[in-house]
Amino acid sequence: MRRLQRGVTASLGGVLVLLLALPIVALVFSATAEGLQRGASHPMFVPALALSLRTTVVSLALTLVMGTPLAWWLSRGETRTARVVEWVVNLPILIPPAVIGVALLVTFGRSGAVGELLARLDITVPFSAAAVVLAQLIVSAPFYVQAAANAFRSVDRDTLIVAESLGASPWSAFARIAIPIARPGLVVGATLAWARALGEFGATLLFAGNMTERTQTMPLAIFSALESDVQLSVVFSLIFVAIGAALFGALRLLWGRS
Amino acid sequence: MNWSAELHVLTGGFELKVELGGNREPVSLIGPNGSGKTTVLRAITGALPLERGEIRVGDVTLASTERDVDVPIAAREVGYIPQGFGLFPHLRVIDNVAFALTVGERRVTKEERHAKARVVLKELGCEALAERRVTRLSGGEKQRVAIARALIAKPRLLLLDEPLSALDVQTRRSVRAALVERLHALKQPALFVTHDVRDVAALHGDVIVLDAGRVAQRGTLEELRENPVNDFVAEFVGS
Repeated sequence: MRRLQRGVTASLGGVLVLLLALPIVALVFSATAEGLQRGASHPMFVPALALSLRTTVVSLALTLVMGTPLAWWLSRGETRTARVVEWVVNLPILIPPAVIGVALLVTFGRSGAVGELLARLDITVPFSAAAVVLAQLIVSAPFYVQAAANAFRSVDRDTLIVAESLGASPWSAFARIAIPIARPGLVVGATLAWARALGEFGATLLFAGNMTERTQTMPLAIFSALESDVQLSVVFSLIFVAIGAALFGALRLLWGRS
Repeated sequence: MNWSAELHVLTGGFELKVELGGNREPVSLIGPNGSGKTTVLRAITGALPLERGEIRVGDVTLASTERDVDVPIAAREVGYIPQGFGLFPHLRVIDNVAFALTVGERRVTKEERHAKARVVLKELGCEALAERRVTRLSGGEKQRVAIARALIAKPRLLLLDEPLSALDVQTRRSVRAALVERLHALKQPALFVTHDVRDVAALHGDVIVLDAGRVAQRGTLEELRENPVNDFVAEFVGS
């Protein structure tokens, strides 16, 4: 009986692993050396990759700067306000990216609530690199905040009181004790958020558009390539897989060090 | 040096209203779970604000609602050893012990603070642990490292929250004897929180029995056993 149970469990897990790996393997095998060369020298490739990296670095930096204090506050608060705020922060995870794109347009568009105010200052957000960053920030930050809040919850309150009782300021106790203790969780959260921002498609397409060298990130470039040249989209996709693998490797490296 | 704490604290629907104090000998604070023992310690450290009250150690007032004094935690110079010891898991033993010498006015060079940390560790008989990671220490070792870390800052008052509770029954007896000897040798004000009357018996000295945020009785263990004020104290101290 136990052997049967083990067999069923292994089979189910094995099927999932196969389903997860198969598309990536197929992608690798469908690419040719010539295709890779052609893809890398395609005029869409470098601008899209550069924009993706540039915008995701900015959105990640904003996520870390704004999300870390928020996650810390959420981890310490047991109030109803904290629970409501946590629910609001997690909301973009549940909403389809396309809906977020529409919501951003309604908010920051010329006739939107914030957009109208910004227009008076001669600032236009939609269909710009700033829109790309904003879309990435909204879809990815919840992943970081959630992971960081969970990581901070593992920091015992007494450990921080000890640090302060030994002469550390609250900031110093946070930076030198809480952050290092929570580091593995923070790294996982940051990696998830970055990966999510890097792969962001729907909200970016609707809110920022798909303009080469201006708002076309790698996922949008893959989409554009697919319309005319499948092989090109395969090459672009492969590069994305490589970036994902590198992210995962970096995570393991940092995790190992902590 | 005498110390005294008159504490009125409200936290999460719990009200603590106690007066305690002592001299150079360790004082035991005993009570069941939820009686407010940890709240007392956190209030003295400054981590919990006082609704009303005053905390004094010798001539120094650490907090006084009447005189509007509230010395920040970092400047109170109170050594706090929480339940589970609160060691910094990402630092080696020596860096845990030397932590107080990396902040504020006590900050010194790495060589100097490591040398001082080794001296304190040696006094506590655990110099050999200096390079170890704190996550790999036994309960008894963690306790000694936590004491060393508190002592290096030369605290005015030492607060120990159930320092024996994390130990298994076998090691508890030997570690208890060593800790009691050490606390008496230190000759410094200390408040020792426990829910185990055997710890109190080993410490001798004054005992404060806490019940639902109030002091139920104070005296030596013998006095409490001979003349308990109520059934709760009688049952708790085993008279």
